[in-house]
Amino acid sequence: MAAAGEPHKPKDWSELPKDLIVLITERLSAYADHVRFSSVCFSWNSALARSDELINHSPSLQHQYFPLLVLPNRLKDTEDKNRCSWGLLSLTENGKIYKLHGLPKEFRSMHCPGSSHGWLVIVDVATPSINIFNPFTRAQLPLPPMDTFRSM
Amino acid sequence: MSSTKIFLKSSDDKTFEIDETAARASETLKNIIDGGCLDGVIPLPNVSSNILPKVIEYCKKHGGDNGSSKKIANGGVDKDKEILPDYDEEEDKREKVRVDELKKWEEEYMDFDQQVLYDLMLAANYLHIKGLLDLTVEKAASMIRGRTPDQIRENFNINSDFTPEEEEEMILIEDEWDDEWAFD
Repeated sequence: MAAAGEPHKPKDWSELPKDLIVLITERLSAYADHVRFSSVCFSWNSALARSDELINHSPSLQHQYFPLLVLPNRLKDTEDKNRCSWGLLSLTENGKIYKLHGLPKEFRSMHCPGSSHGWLVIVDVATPSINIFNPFTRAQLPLPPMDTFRSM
Repeated sequence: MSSTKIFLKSSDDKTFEIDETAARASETLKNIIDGGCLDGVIPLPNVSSNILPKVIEYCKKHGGDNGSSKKIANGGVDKDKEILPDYDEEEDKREKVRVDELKKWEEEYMDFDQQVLYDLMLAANYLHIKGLLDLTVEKAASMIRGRTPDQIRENFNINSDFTPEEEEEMILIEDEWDDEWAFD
């Protein structure tokens, strides 16, 4: 490990030790900041992937962040025809609206009846199928076909 | 209070003097001192002579008192004092003045560029100086809040090392300021 303050050697922040990256992210109360922090460079991204995993598996850690509301009327096609973007309303930052890019374009026509712990329930009426989807990790899991639910 | 001198040797072999009481602000140094294996000079192979005086300056100011930044976080109110029967208003005022003075000192102390911040954060982490680590981590977080990845890269002088494909896949959160879709 290079000595802190080694003369004449420019400091490379991308080499910041993981435990310090995690300490910094603990001080970001807006989830948008967390996401943008992790998309700065590869090493920060992989350091935070681990803490993302922790956040996704621990409801108590999710409480570090205030919820973002998905704005259904802000689904939009982007220049890239295979992607679409969503509007997210931040409750803590004076109603600031973020645009979440790079989502699969199929989501444009799907219906989201609810969410839990960061997972969105996505219903595709055309197929028909139900999936749960995490918009930040992009993890997607299929749920059993609709006809297995007697009430539907 | 003992005023025994401790000598610290930087990674580039320069020796610095510090009072033992000040050195105790660092958990790492405190353990070395208490461990009794102090052999005149403590070598610090992870801290260079560029940054060690800055670390010593912090330790001198805090003199083994690791709780100072916590007091600031509580708005300068020391919880223990509130439950004392003889609550001294004058003492409370003096404490507030002391905390304000410390805040001002910290503001001036923390006025440096990102290169120094990097070294100081690493040194605080290595030497286990809780208050200094809190200050440096908070400064880094303040350079990230509300900023786009490009602005963060600029602040910390780093280049994006994602491949164009990874960049494409990246979830991007952007501020949306246009009111094209304003609520009706």
